[in-house]
Amino acid sequence: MTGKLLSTFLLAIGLAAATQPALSQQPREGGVVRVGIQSEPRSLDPLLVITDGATGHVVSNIFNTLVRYDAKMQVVPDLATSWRLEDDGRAIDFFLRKGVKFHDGTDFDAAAVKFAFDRILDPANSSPYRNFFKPVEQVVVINPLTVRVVLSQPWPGFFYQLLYVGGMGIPSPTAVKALGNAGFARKPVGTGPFQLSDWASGDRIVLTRNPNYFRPKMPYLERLEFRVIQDSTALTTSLRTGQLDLVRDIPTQLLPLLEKEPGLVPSVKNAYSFDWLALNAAKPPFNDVRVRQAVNMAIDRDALAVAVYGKGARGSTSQIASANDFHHPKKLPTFTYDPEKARKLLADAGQSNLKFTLLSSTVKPQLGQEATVIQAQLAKIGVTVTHQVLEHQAWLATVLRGKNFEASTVAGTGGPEPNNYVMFWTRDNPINFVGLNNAELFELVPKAQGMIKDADRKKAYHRIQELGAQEASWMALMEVPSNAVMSSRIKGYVHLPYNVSYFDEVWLAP
Amino acid sequence: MSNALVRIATAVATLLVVAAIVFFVMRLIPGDPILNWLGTSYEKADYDRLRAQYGLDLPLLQQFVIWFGHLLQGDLGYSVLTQLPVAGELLRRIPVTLELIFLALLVALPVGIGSGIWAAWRYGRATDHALLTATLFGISLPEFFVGALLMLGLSLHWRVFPATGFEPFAWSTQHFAHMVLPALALGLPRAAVICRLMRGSLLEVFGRPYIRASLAKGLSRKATLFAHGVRNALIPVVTVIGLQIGYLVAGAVVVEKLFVIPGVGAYGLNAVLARDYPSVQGFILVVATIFLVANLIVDLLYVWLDPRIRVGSPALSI
Amino acid sequence: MSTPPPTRRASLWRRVATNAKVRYSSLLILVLVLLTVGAGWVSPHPYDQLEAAASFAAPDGNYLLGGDALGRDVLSRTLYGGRMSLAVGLLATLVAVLFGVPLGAFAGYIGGKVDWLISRAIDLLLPFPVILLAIVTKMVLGDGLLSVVLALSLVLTPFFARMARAKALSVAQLPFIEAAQGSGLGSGRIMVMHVLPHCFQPVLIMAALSVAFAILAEASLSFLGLGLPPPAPSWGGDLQASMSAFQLAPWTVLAPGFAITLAVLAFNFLGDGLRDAFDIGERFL
Repeated sequence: MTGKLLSTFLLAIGLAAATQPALSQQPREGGVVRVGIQSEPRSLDPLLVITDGATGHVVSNIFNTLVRYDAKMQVVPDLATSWRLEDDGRAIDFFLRKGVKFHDGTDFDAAAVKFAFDRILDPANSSPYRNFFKPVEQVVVINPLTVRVVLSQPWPGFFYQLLYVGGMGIPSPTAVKALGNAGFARKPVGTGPFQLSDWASGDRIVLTRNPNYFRPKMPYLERLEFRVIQDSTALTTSLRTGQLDLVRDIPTQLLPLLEKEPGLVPSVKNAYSFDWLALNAAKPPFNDVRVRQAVNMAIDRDALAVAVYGKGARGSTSQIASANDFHHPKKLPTFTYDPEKARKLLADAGQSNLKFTLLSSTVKPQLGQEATVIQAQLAKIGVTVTHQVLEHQAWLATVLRGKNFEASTVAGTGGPEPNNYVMFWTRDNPINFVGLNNAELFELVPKAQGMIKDADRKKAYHRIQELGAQEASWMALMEVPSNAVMSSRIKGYVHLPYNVSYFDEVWLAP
Repeated sequence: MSNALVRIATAVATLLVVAAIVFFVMRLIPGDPILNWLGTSYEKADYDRLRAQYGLDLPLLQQFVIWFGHLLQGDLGYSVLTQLPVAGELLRRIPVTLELIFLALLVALPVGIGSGIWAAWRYGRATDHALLTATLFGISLPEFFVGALLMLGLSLHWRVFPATGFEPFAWSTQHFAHMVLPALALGLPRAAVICRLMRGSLLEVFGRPYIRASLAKGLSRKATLFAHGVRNALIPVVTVIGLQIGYLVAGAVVVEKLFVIPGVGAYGLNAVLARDYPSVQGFILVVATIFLVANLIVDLLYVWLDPRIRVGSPALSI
Repeated sequence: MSTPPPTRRASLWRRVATNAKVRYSSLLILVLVLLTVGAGWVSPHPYDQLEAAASFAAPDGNYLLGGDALGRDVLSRTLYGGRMSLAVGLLATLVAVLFGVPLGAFAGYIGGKVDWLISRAIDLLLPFPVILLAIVTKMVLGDGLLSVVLALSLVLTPFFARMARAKALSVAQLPFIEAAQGSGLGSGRIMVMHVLPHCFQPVLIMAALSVAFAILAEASLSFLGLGLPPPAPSWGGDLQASMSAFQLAPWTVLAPGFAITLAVLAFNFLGDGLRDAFDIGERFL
């Protein structure tokens, strides 16, 4: 009897001892966290921001959205404390947080939310997010703390759209009107835990603590510095010598170096993100669907994945990442490695000696490596690929805006919401830079967005993926793991497997 | 004095020529020059305004005059990437690069000249051979390799200096700690070149009659060396220092990229890679100005050192 | 019966041939050239053969110098890369010699306003940092071999021109030139027959040093991203791409690094040796 009692007693003490350190860890105020980013944001205005590797992490701390992700990638309140669906889901009333102020001292209210929506939907602003919010018919201010969003159709994925700080970061209307769009891009004003204090172009972006942030006691940090370091050697070395505290999405091959370093904590997560191959269907040679399909079938995606992201990386089998519930259960035909079929398709299309230029952006080195591997793989079936590396801004201008290219590797992001993977492919969408033109696809994408029943949605998204595979114009290459390496002093940082970091909960241990 | 004025006038004229060349080269780049300036996302109003402002419909020579006029007013255009004025951005960065070059010279000159003298003094012996070998390596290693080795050795392996980054100027260890490795990476290869030159020059001077005459007078060998030899041996070295400054400026670009120093070089490099033509133009002009001014100073120094030289650039006196 | 004393020229070449530096460096250069030109035969693997499993593989029986980030054989890439780097160096030097020497000699010989103009142009280009020139040529000509070679040639030409001009100036004052002119020989022939031979020795020395400089410069340009575009193997480009993995896989950085150093050393050494043999002071070159 006593033996059992004793062991239970000891167990209890042991448990108590084990939990003690966790309890004694109270967030400490103050400190500076230095984050390394590999490219410099061009604009910090949510209206225009494309959440690439650098910009997303900065902007997500200057602005808030109506809702945000928690650690488990679930939707939780941010600027909206609660919401109510009306009219079969065709209208949503958002109840807003009281007493929130922008960095310039003006009040956050329903009018500001309306201003943000109107700004995106206004064609004069040429926001890339305008098409994402097409179903939004109008935004009505009910009272200063309640705003109603009226949709043209029910839209279950709407909430996932709202938490994209790109697009839905709420700016201060006063500041926007005073500075104009061009000025606001470099002097952003939001409600976020940090405000912009200095932007030394080419060097660093410095954010300082917002003392009026609406979450009590937060942010704990005094300052957040984003240092632009393009060279991978300098980036990893700086992290190891303690000059940087956190870096996101380092080339996977360099992780072993950092794992060995005491004082650094790596984190790797299966992401929703993927890299993909864009083939421009609007001009030769890829205006012929057979050529597009052939090129894709000549790529060994698994080998490509391992070559670029290391062991354990997987080639894609469809457009939607396997982490997402709506991932297609079958490996779609054009994703399969079949060089013989590829050769035959090219011969049928009269392109047995196909030559084209494959672009890649400098925004992450893997894109260039993928292009190199694809070049080598395609050479095996007699296709000559010229690989050209473009600096990121030049790439954006040439490919995204100019649509003046034949093929390119592209970095893509996704999320739990399937629409994120296919939302570019609608009629007259300015982001449809691959010249995709499939009537059934164009109809199905917005329709799927509005479906409420899961079974219907699954069917619709499976069909969308099949169509996408047939068109073979935007084709996922492999699933990209997301990583974060940080100093062991950093506490409270949640590694979300996409390009956003919430630093309001982060604090530094001594 | 007229000597000095001639040289200054030459430098100014050269700058004008450089500006003209930059202007005409920019016109050689394929495409509409205004589009090259604005990038692809622009407003028609801006396009029209710039077109009028720079008189693109006028004959080329007139365009140059207009553009040069803007230049003299300090207007170097706006960066395509950041929309910030190029002149302002460059102005912010010039002191950083100048400091880097200065510190590199602070390394290169004493080390180079000193070791050159030492090698000559120990001519033919082990020290001389050792220095010759070391400097041969020094001029054969790529600059960024030296920098990377320094970073990996003194920063990563033995945590003596910070690896990258830059702290704003202050008379503090924090600021200078960040500049040590870049200055070494930039200065040591130059030191190797200067050492060899100094040694060769000194050895030649030893063959001259007045040195033998001094020896005959009974001065100790060491005194002779310092009294007569070094000053004369310095002349050709000073000649070459002007050239070395050009290499220093080029090297600064490499070092700034490697050690992440926000200087003019890093700015220019990013501008080239991003096809930010207004910034590239401004960068070339600023860099050309820096090394022309530096060369001018060296030229004037040369005249002071050797009063025998009359009009004529030292570069052509051989 | 005694043999006639060797001619000055013969004894000069004897000095060159027996100079230790010249011998060793020439041998090294020969080996380098053979290895890189014959890369197709010597390389154990094609330089673009990707082997995902061999990513950063340590040196072993198959990949003698290990594998790079994409699993390509470092040894093969270094050999092929040498082809590119040496070609650039030699080409740029050749262009500089072919343009610079005649230009400088002409200027020195003719004198007057033409000389003044050419001298100013030389003065302008002489101290210009190669990086600036590379930036300009890259913008106008785009990526590729042409723009790199052009930039390097532009940097090297002034040196040859300056030297040739100085030689021409010294020769032009000699009395026998006046005699030749008086007898009706054209300027062109005088230049070729009397001026250019004087340039031969310094040109040889300068050429060796120029190749060294060009190889080094190409490596630096590649490091900055202004050199030859990927995936063409080049020493500078490969070094840049592998640098961040230096501690993981040092061979990926050391192989091209040593290759560059070896080639540059060889040519510098050659120039040194020739200078000794021809007995020309260092301060002139």
